[in-house]
Amino acid sequence: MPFDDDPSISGDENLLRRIAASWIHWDENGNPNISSAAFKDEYLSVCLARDGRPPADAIRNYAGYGLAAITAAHARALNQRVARDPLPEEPAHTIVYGRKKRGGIVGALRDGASWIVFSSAGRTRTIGGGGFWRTSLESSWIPGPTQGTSFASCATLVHH
Amino acid sequence: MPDSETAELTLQERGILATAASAAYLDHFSKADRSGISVYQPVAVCRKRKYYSRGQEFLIEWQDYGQPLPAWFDPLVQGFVDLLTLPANWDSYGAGSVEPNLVQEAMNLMNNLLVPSSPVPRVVPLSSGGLQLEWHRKGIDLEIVFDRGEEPFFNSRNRVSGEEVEQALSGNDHLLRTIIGQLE
Repeated sequence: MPFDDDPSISGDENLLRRIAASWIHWDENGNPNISSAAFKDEYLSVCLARDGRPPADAIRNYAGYGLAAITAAHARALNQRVARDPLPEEPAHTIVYGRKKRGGIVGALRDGASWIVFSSAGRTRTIGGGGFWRTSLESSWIPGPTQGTSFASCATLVHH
Repeated sequence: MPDSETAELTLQERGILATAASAAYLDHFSKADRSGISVYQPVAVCRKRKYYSRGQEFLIEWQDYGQPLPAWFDPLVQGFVDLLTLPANWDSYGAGSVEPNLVQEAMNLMNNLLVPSSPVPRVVPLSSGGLQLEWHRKGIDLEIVFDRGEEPFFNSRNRVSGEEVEQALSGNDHLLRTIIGQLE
């Protein structure tokens, strides 16, 4: 379902996007960088920051998530449409609609994003043991000598 | 009688001795090389390594020649394992799990492309159930995208020159190796 651009959303309005820990890369200087993966959806869910509502309210019920913003103008400059899509649980829900995967669009969207709240999640890994299901990924890693740079052969990843 | 004929060797005599010694060494090394060829053969060995993610244990088994693991091996495999344990709705926008076949495909690509000195990519999930491998180094952004129902492709951008390349993976191994080499 394509969306038409809503001109009542002004260009300087912030569009808020929750950022999962898996999308945060901490660089060698300790700065949190957002992956372009956070902006790849054709129907990108965001919410409008307006009506005096504190932006951080968008992650009030999402512990461990960060919050980033792009402006509507930035999205439009990259051939995206910005349209309201209110949901019962989030009346300010908005969609940034348009193809993003190719042509450097998603990278440009990411470059225009700024942090509103960033979480320290993602700096640590969950380590544990056990589990209850088992599967395997059959791999056919090719022996090195005939493949130049191939590292290993016959790899199998088994989940206990 | 001159001193040079009693206490010292002449230049000519030195040359003769040096030549004889070199010949002896050459013969020695040659023998060593010949015996090495007949005795030493690389032996494939089975190896195992355990990884943990979100309370689950994974075992990776592979065959190689017992060489040291490259620096990228552990963080890369851990990144793949972490994708497989993502819970439903991990992005808070309704994402499902990452497709294991795409993880496998990405593992195979890395096995074929990376050399021991390669920098490790970040393994990043996509809300669509795909994944991407990312490097951001030396002014270059490189992303290799594996997504559901699409041909894998890569996008490379030089932040200094502004040059941007986007190509399908298929048929562009050489170009991709060149770009990864520039990241080292």
